[in-house]
Amino acid sequence: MQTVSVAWNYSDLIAVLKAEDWQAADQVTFDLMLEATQRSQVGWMDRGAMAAFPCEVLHQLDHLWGEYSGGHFGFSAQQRIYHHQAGMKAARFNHLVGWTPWESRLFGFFKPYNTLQFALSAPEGHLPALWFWELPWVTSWFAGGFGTGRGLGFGDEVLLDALMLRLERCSLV
Amino acid sequence: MLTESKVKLIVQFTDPDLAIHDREAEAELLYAAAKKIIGVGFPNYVIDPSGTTKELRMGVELPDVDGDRIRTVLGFLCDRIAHNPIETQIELLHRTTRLQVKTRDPKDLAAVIQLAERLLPAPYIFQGMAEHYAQQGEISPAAYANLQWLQHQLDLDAEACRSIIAKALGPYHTRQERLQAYQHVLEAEFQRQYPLSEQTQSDLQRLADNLKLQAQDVAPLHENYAALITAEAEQQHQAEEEAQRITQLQQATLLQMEQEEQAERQRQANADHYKQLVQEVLTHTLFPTEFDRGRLEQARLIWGLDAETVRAAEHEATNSLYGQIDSAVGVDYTRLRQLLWTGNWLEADQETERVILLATSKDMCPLTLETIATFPCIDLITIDSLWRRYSNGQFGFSAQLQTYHMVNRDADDFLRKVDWQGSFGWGHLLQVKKTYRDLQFTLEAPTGHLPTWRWVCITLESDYTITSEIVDAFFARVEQCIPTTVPPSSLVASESAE
Repeated sequence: MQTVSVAWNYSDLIAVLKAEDWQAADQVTFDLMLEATQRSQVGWMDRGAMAAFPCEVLHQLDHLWGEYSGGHFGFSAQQRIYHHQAGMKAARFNHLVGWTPWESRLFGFFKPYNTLQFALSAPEGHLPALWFWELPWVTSWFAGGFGTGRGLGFGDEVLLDALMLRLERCSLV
Repeated sequence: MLTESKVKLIVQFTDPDLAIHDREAEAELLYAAAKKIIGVGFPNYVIDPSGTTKELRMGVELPDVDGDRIRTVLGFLCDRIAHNPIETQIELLHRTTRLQVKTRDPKDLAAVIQLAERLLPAPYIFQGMAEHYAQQGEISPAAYANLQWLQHQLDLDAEACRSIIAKALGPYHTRQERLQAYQHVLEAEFQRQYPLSEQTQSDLQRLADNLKLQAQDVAPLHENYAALITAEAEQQHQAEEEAQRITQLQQATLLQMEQEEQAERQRQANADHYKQLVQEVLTHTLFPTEFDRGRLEQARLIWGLDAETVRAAEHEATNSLYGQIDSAVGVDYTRLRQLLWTGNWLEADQETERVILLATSKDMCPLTLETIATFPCIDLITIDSLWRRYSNGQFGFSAQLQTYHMVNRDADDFLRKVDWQGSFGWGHLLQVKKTYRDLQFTLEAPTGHLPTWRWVCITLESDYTITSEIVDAFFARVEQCIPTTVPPSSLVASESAE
């Protein structure tokens, strides 16, 4: 997967973040992520795409989310919780950021996407989330999501892990 | 020579009956008339020596009368006397011969004419004429015709006349020849000496006169040669100056080079000293004490070493003591070396991933089969040698390669042997995946356990998986870069495997 050196346009994202329309911001973020990994046609992020995610875009998205949410949302917030509070355990992380109703590796399931709290009162690191939720129809069934994305299904700790590793590697540059 | 063919004529009015006043008048008339005659030279007055208050003119003197004009002049005088009988004394002088006649009778004078003609021998008359014409430098056609007429008149031999003419002209018959002759002489003189001495100049002047060359003919030649000589002298002078300048420049350059060489040698000596000092300071530790750092700083100041030299010296010293850290892609392995030296295996492993991603990938992306095949050899060797050095051969790519050969290049066996994969059951039926955290970061780990290959992984916490394709591909690359580590015993096995 090659990084495409294109001048990304973050003006849409900035607009919705300024307006504190968190759900729209999540959508725009997800769209940008797909564009950055050339998966706009595919429509969902997978672990390989995450591993090759352009560092520049990652930093910029994270920076904007952090700026407009006062550090409450964004990849850095999620990384912080993952390392320091969740002890790098996916199940614990999912619960801490409010993606699953309870912490359990085997019996936890994810909330449907539209039930997420799109407000600053949500737990730290709650957003962005769509990148994790969006799944192809088939995978969604396997994940137990009944064909509707990740909702009501099991998590993909690999995808989360991949994001965390990517954040770590990008920070080394 | 010319005087030999000329006659002096003195006409004096000696008539006692002639008043002084009339005598003067007669003299003046004669003077005026004489001036009009061609070939008689410039007339003078004959002065009465007895006169005191005033110059008394008593006659006319014709100093240079050409030999062939004697008859004409005497004839003229005859007519005068016939016309105006005054007693006149006529003297003809030629060298030592003197012919004098004093009469008022024209007949007497007529008789003298023949005698007078015999004063000069015919050849002399002819010679006189020839020399007169030769004055111009060459005999013009009119002059030549006159000479021929004279020859006929004097009844001279044609051959004799030709030789007289030739003699009168001199060795050069045309003006061009004369100029050339002069030019040759001038050239010779200029080559002999410059500037010309007074003697030479007067000699050349004499020659010009003899050759009947005018000043305007001669002057340009002089100027030309003078200009030529000065130009040559100038050129030579410039050439000398140029040569001098070049030698000066060369000397200056040589001097500069010597100085530079010396400065360089001094610099080198200082650099070597500094290097020795660094080695001394680093001998026991990679992190010098504050005291030693101070020593190094002082040395840098005292010897005035520039940053480049210092860096080079420190690199050399550190490399020789703690292992080379070369890179084909400009990656700095200093931190990896430090972490390995202090035995921080986990951090060293993380640093290994960092440098590998920096070396091989554009955007810190994990390695793929393609990028493994082009892993820079120098960097691979550097990383391997550092891990090996600080683990006494237990860790490093070459240790892993040995394990790979020990299991006959079976990827799954390799993964089990280095304890990256566990298994249960007979025939390795159940694979037990490990996560990165399950790995051991101590010296108690099995040989080849480290460094991990996390740099091909997409995830670490969920599981640390290396596919067999990756294993084979990576060892193919390692063998390319470090061919000497193939142990002879497995050569047979590898051949059969292929």
